[in-house]
Amino acid sequence: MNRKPWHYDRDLLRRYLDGDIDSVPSASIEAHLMACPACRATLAELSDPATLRRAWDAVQAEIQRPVLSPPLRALRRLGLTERDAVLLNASQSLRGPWVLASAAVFVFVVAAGWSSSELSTACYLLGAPLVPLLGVVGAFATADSLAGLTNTTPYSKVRLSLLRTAAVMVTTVPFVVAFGAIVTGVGWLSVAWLGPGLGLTLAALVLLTWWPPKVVGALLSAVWIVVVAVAHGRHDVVLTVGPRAQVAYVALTCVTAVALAIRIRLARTPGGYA
Amino acid sequence: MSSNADAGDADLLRAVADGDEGALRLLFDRHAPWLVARLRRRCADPDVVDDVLQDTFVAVWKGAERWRGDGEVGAWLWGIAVRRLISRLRRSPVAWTFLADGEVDAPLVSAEEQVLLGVEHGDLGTALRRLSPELRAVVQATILDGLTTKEAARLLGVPHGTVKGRLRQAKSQLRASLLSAS
Repeated sequence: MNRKPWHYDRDLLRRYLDGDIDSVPSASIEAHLMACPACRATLAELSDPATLRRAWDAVQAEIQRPVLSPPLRALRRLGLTERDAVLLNASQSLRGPWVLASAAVFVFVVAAGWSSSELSTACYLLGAPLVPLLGVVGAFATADSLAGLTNTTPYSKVRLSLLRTAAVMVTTVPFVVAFGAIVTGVGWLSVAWLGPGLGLTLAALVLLTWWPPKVVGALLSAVWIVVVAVAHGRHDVVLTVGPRAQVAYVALTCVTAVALAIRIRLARTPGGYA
Repeated sequence: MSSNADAGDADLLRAVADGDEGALRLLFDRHAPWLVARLRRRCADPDVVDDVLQDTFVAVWKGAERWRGDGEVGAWLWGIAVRRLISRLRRSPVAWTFLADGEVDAPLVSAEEQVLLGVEHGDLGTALRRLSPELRAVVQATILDGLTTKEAARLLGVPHGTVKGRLRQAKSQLRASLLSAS
């Protein structure tokens, strides 16, 4: 066995690249290439640079793909498509709501700890519906930095806005319900607030087809604060989520859902006020 | 990363495991060309080959720490690539190109090259040529491409036992012709 290093000539390697060589010498070339960096380098010089550049660009795009945040990874496992997940990641629509929900829950806990039970209940009923409401509104406000992009991409804006809303709801609502039930001890009220919460959120989506997020957020928050404050003034804050009130919320939800459908039919998307 | 330019493949792989994209780029520049050429000889569809090449280097990026640090990096890369190719072909069957006789009409290998091949591989070429196409396909899949007999069986669409039998037969034929030549 001759141990002196030897190399294939360029012509033979070129014919190998072109597939112009019989199978048996090809096998020899392949075996030699595994062990010979010099011949690998020669082969690289002879290879089509465009193909390799394309392949590298694809590899780079793949390895540089953004790492999704934990709530998005959870949604991804629940069936959210990769495309939608990346879009939500880019619009940062979940980070704000998460911070908001955590802050709200913290306030409830503190309030429940040192106040009378009536005030603690009032705090919870005041704050809980505002979490998804402000979360959704906030998602549209923070996504403004993406507006230039979303306005020019062929991605359904209705789908995008509903996706954002759903993402906010899914990540905040169970959080607030669980904390209400377990930590603050408000009992059935931890579910009862879902009525006004849903009604307010849908109302926000409808209003977002006309007005900017800040205006909508301030207006609807003010309405809810007034409702809770008035009930608290009458020492019957539970009335705001009582049976009659719930009927009103269901009506509000239906009306706003229809209104939203009509607005979308008219090509007016939430957040598309600009 | 210029500091990596002279590093060996093994050092580059360790750098990749630490998240050094420049090291992956160098590995790609060194190894992608021959990987593409070798994959092309096994799959005629260039799109599939491109996909497999990308998958391979993405897998290297994610799994560089799984390299045990022994043996040739090239062989390790080929092991990843050929398995990606197999799983890709299983999803959407495209013809797997076997070593076949008469691919080339005229003998293109010059006398001098024949000598070089002979120096490196003895009379392996002649011996391989004497094998029947079925046996040669098994030799290619197992000995040359480094697949297990099980993987080769899936690839060739024959029972596992048949592949093992053919491999045994091929080895004894190769041994016989190599011994008679020397």
